[in-house]
Amino acid sequence: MVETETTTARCKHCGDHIGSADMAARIGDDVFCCSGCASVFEILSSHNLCSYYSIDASAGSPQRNAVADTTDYDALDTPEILKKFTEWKSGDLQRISFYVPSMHCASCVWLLEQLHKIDEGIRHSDVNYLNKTVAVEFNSTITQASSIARLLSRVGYPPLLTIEGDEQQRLGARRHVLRGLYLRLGVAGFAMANIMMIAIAIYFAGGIAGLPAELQEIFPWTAIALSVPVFFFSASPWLKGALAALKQLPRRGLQTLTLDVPVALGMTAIFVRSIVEIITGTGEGFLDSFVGLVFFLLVGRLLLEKAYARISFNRTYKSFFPLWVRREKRASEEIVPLEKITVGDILIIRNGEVIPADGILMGDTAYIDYSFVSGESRPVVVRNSQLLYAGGKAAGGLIRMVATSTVQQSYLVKLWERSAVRNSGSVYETVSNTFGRWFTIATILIALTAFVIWLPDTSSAFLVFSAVLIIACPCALTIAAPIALGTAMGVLGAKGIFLRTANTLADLLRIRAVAFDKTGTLTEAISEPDFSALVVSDTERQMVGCLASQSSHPVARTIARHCTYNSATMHAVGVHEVAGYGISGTVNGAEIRIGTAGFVQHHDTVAATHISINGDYRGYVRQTPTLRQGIINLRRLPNRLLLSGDTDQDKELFKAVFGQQMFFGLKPDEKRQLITRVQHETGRILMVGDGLNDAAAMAAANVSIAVTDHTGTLAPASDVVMNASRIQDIPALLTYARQIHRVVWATFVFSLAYNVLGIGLAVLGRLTPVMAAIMMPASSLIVIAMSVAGAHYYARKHVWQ
Amino acid sequence: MAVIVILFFCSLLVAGGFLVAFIVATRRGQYDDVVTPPHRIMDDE
Repeated sequence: MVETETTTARCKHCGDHIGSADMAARIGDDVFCCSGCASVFEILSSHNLCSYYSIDASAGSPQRNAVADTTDYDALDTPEILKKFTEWKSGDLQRISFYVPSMHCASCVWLLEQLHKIDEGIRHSDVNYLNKTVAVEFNSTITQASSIARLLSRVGYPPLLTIEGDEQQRLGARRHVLRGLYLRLGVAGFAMANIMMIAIAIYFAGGIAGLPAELQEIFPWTAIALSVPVFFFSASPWLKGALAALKQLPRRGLQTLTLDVPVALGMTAIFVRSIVEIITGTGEGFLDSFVGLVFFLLVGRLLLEKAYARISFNRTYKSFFPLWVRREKRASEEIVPLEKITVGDILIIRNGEVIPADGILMGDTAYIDYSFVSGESRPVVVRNSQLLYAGGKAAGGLIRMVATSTVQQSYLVKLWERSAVRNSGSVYETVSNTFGRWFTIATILIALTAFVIWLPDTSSAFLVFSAVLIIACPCALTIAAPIALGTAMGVLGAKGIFLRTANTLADLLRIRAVAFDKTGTLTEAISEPDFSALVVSDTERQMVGCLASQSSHPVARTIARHCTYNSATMHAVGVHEVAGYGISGTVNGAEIRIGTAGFVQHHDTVAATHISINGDYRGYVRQTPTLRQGIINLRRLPNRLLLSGDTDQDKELFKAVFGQQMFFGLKPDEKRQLITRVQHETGRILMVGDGLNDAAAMAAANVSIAVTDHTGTLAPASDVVMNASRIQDIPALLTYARQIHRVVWATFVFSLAYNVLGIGLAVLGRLTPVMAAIMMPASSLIVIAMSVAGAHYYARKHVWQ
Repeated sequence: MAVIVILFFCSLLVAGGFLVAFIVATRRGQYDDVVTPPHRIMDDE
């Protein structure tokens, strides 16, 4: 019935392959995998924006799995809410900005800057690709913020209107951090280049005495003039840090001595000494070394900031909670920002919205989807005046509730904060903090002791004192470890593996067991349906498709995609959906029920979607799982376990990887208990799950990886979010973590050796401050090079060839 | 020998000019977003 060439067709919008069965729409010669893709194309083509498809071939994101956008955009027109997004406002003109996480290519940038061609109220829109924000300037007499947000959602770029989205669009503050750094670097670079020029002249003249008389005066004083702004402006982050630490010293003791202290002391020593030498005419000073030192330290800091800017791992409860909620006040509704909720407020939660605070249900039964909090994916029934927990999602109708806590005190926020505590304090932090503190104290003591020992000879004593302070460089701790970890995070990010913090790499060491979830982790979340156990005629099949298309449930949507029908001749009426059970309705006079065995009133143990027509049982549709690629690679992992909530019908598929270590039919809490047991018997355990259904087990494991098909998915309790196509790389990730650990220790050892040698020579008076000041940035650079090169080398040569 | 002194200050002045230009550019936000413009250059218009 369908021409053969369409079986290899690609969706015009998202470029995915489409089989003939699920070709959902066709406009002219173009075919689409789903109606979502087709409608985006229609909007673009009707506004002459089809170059979107020619700039970047992979521009469109598939709209197939995008759940119908239930966001309540109208709330954006409430002044109090809109204020959060407004950059400026003058008269009718207003500039607002949204965080748009689905932005990913040049086409996205192009389209999002052409919005004025679609909505004439928009004057101008511009994109910041790094922050993934789009700022829109519009005339508020012609268009509204809500229709702009709706437009973004319709073209496939829904703005994220959650607390996180709000924070992301405020990221402007971070730009100013970088601006300050660029300015400091510019000033230091300018001073360094010019002081070097002077230093070279002095060097070739064979010392300052070899210069013509007028230059002997001018050169040193110019060098001072150039280095003063470097000291007070460029070096200020270290000086301020050290001053703050010293101020705290009487109150909090030696633990406030951060690594800024010796760096600042060394800088001050060399700077003041140089100035004194020049003014008193006793020497040339080492201002060239001083500015070089500041310059390279700033370069290190900039590299670090850049590495962190590329890493966005902000999936906390914040990306889940809405920005506003509807509150009932004197029989009317009002929209209030989330933080304004107080105990006793009556909140109205619509279908699909998230409950933002704990409370008590008012009115009859409600279905709540707690998959985010508890890991249980089936909706829970809550009755009148029972407790509702924040983080639950209203499933199947409007809910009225009385708040019994504020957002900050709710169960979910507390849960999140507890798991955040678990993640802090890794090996590297502890080592570098303790080592750093003792390092600082030891350096100052050694410098003072050396000064006293050399004291009879005052000028030598001063030289030794400055040399010790300058040469002592805790650079492996201040720069190398974060740079190695930051580079590693960047390398992993490019491969579709995102770490919550750099310390996660340390947590991945010494993993003794790895537990996997099955559905959505080892198999594709959306699997191909098997219609062989369903007895229906062609017309009936279309009728089933017609009813299924009324639901937003993933299974129903898959069925609808495979049972196309003609919407001109077929309509579903009296549609009733019971969340978690099924959907019923009448299509062309026939009563159809699609859902669980109980829902269609049939006793069958097969875990599948059952269908009955006019009370007559017709069989079931089963989704056979499709294994993700490269699962066999996982055999390289130690102690593999399979924890599944499903029946053991697919057991044979996984035998090659898991052997006998397979557990089926587990409830979320049983998964958690099993994890804890393995932890006691075997040791540190890594849990790999799909993030939503395994939250409890993932929180119990030492480290957790959430596997997701699109990175916009939330992963509440996980330390790593990984693109599903990368699951075969988990053994490589563990190897890589070990190798990065080795790189960090190598830089520690190098730095220690350098310091022992350098301080030794300095104490013996064999090292002039000039030499010390050259060696210090040189050692920093070596350490930076070691860590960056190490992180890239291991990624390329040994792990991902 | 005064020539070399004049030249020295001239070179400082020129370099200082570039430094001022850099500071002004940074303050106006030229370096705030260095990622989007390379994407924008793909546009035909």
